[in-house]
Formats: sequence, structure tokens, C-alpha cells
Amino acid sequence: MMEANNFIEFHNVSFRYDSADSGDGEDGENVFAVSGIDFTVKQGEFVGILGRNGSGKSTLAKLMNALLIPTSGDVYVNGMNTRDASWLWEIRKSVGMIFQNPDNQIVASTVEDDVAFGLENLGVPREEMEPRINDALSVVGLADRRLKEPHYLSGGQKQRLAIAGILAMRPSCIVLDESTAMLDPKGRDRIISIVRELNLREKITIILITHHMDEVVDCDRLFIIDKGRIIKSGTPGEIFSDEETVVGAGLELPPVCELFQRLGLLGLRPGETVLTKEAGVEFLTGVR
Amino acid sequence: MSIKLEDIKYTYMPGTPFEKVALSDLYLEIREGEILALIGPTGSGKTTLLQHINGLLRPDSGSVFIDGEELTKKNLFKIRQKIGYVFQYPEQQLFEETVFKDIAFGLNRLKLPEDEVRARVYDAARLVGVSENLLERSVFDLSGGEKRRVAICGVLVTKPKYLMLDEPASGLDPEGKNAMLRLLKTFRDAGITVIFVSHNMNDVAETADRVVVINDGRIERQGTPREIFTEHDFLSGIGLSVPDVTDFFRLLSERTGVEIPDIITLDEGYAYLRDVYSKGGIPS
Repeated sequence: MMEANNFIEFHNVSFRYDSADSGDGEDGENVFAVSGIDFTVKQGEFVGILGRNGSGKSTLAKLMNALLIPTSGDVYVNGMNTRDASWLWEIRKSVGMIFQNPDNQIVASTVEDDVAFGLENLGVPREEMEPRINDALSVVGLADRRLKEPHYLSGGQKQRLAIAGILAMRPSCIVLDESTAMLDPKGRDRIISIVRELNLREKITIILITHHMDEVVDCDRLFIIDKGRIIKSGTPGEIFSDEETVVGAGLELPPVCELFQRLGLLGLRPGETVLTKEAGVEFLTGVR
Repeated sequence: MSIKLEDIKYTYMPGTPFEKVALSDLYLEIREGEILALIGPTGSGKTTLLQHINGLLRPDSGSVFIDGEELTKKNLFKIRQKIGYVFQYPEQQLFEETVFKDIAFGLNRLKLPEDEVRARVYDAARLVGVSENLLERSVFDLSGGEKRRVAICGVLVTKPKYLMLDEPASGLDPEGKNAMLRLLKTFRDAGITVIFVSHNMNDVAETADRVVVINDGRIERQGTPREIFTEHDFLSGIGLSVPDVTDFFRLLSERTGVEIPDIITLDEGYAYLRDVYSKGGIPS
């Protein structure tokens, strides 16, 4: 059974792609993309998932909204088992997913139609669509682009449009799978601050998968996944004070954190980390 | 010898309602032996610029000179051999049965003897750190970072003098990204001039010898990373940023009133703080 405020639960989940979908192992055995995954995300939590290319992060993400069904084990979304096909639309509606490539998620010929697309599929009445589209576009800062063709938006704007399309469906959770990888610095900042706001204000559960360590320093919890298994979880402070595990998993410390880790010789206590610029300034001015 | 762009102008879809000036008043010299980073917001013209350098696009007006020779329709094929162009996400274009065949593919039309092909593939693989036992494997067995290095090998075998890479580290995990940045320096040290596009200011500061800032189809700044990354307001005004350590020391200076020299890399930041500590800490 699910605990009351758990939004997503993984129970001993393993997943293996069919041999038709991906390469067989050397000896013809299929390789598990993820195996033995047990984890939970609480309602309203902001969770970061880190791991090298091919570690199983995207597979994990797709298991969260029934794009993939576990080979063994069970995934529950708000109490609904993703195996149960009768919950499929309910699950897809409550867990929205943003992918890496902005160009692959646009379906309509105007910005507002693109947001309306998901609502039409859900059978939302016309009069209710209007305010929902307005709200969603203004949250992501695209209200003045309503009638534009998505083709003329920048990469960052396209990702914001994708977020608006999901927001209009009033999701409980948004999964971002390397959604900032192709964006310029401003586009990236904008996406991160929008999802942070959605988490704080609307209590939307956020699962952020990324290779940019500085994006996850404010997360409630982080998971490191390697070779399809969760090898470490904890607060950003707990994760990034364990440099050996982080680097061993193909990752790195956030830049400011790395500076202070090296500086450790000069006054950081074991297990102590400095994650943000603000914290760094405080540390330096505090010990002077 | 160098690459020179002189007074380049280029307009997309001229004479239609979608007309857009992509490059204008563009002068640029790329010096032999340097690593040049090209930065700019999305849609600023970075890729269009690269496409002019290897003749994929021809300017409406202005000229491109490669080692003193003007790029024309006639000499395009010959001159283009000096320029390697690694597209964004090049691994998406891998298709051959084996890593070896994929790397060698670009040599097919050159009709080289078999042992020359072999030598070039092995040299390229060695340079980028693709181990020999991978060469007979399927490209689908490789990791993301390995696939990208293989794709770059496919360009290196043509022995380019200038190598252009469009966001070579984008989408790679930190380990793969750091390996890619080291690789750019390896190329330079092997005598290949490197031109790369990046959205990551930390990477640019750690890797580039010179930086060109392009915005709205024009070059707005060029200089050393240190010269460029002291212009915080200008960069954030056009949607870019400064490296994280630069931003950190700027904040520290603001809060403490202490004047701090421009710091753009982690090594510099560490050296500065170590020095400050040896003198008794940040002065109050």
C-alpha cells in the first residue's frame, strides 16, 4: 500500500527493453536498463535525478507516467498502478513530461493551439479551455505569443510552450528529462526558475533529470543512478559532500562547491559543503 | 595562415515575408593554432556563421578567405577539405555496421589505398581516445560520449586543418563533457585549429584561447576569455552569462567591498583564496 503523502512509489522495479528496441548484450542476453529500483517521491517534493549517459535516467522517467511498464515490480502514481490500463489517461494527465529536444514536442501551428491540443484530447469544454490556456501561457511568459507560429520561437520558448501545454492539463507532477540541455544560459535559467515557482506556489511535484549540477543544489532530495541502480540518495549537501561517489558516477560537483571542496584544507569541516554562491560568501565572511 | 571573413552579409528567404537578416557587417579572423569559442544566444547566427566558413552557405555579399584563398564555387571542394565540420549531436548520424566502417566512411570518395584508410582510422581513434577493441563493435554498443567521439573521428580522418564543432559537449554527462573539453586542447596541441560553439560559459572560460560574441547576426565583442567575461552586464543583457566562479567572486567583492581581480577559472579562484588565507583571511 502507498503511504498517504507519497505521490510516486517504485517497488523493486526492473525494466528491460525488447531486443527489437535496443542492442542485445554480447552473449545475446538482454540488459536491464534499470533494476531493483525502490524509491518514493512525496507530493510536492522537488527531486533531482543524476547519472551518466546511459545510466537509466530516461527509462526511470518514462516508467513514471506509464510510457513504459515495468518488466517486473510495480510503479504507483498517486496510488494508481501503471500496469492497470484503465488508469492510463488519469496517470498521463497527472504526470506531465518535458523532453530534451524542443522541436520534437510541438504539434500545432499556433502557440495557443499547441496548448489547446492536450485539453482537446481530455475533452475539456471550449469555455473552460480559454482561461486555462491564458493562465498556462502567462505562467511561462508566452502570453504575448499566443497567435505566433511555434516554429518562430527560440529553443527556450519552445520548452516553455511545452510546459504550458502540460500546465493547462493541471498536472500534479512534472518530469523534466534533460529539458535544458539544448538551451542557452537565459533559456535554461528561465526554465529552472519557472519549475521552482511551480513547485513553491502550486505545490507541483517536480522531478528534474539533468547533467547540470548547479540546477539541483536547491532540490529537496537527489538520487544518483548508475548502471540502472540507485547508488546514492540524500539532500544536495549529503550528495555533494561525497565527491568520490559523485565523480565515480560520471558526475561532478557544482562549480562553487568544487572550489570550496578544494578549499577544504583551509577550513571546511569533513562532511561540510558549500553549494551556492550565497553560501560561499557567507562562509568566507563568517570565518574572517 | 588563417580564416578570414570580410563584410559578410546573409539573408534567409530574401524577398519573402519570412525574410530575416542572419549575418551582417561581419568581419572575423580565425588564427591558426587557436581554440576559438563562438558564443551567442539561440538564433544569433552562430551556426549560420559556421556554414559560411565551410561553404555550405554562400554570403549575399562579402568574402570568405581560407589561408588567403577566396572561397568560390569553383574551389569549394578543394578548400573544404581543410575544414572539418562536426554538427550538433553528430552521433545521430552514425549508421554503419561497425565503428571502423563509420569512421572510414568519409574517406570512401577519396579512393585511398586500404592501408592508408586503416592508418588514418587508427590515428584518429588514438587521438580521441576510442580504444582499438571498439573499432569492430557496433556503434550501438557505445556510450553517449563514445559515440560522439566516434562521430568526430569520422571528420578527423579527412585530416582537416581547421575543425569546427557545434556544441560538442551538449547533452553529455559531466565526465563526457570534461573529456570533450580536454580533447579540444588535444586537437589544438596536435596542430588543428579549433572553432567551437558553446552555451556553457564555464566550459568556454576553461578551454578557449579567444572568444567571439555574436548577437543578432553581428559580432559584438571578441577577445580573450578574461576580456569577455569581465563584461557581465553586456553578456546578461543579450541572454548569456559569466562563468559561475566569476559570478561568485563578483558577489563576494560586492558584499565585502574588497577589490578582487577578475577570476574566470576554478584554478584562479582557488589560487586567489589560498593566497588570501595565507595572509589571514578576507579583510573586514
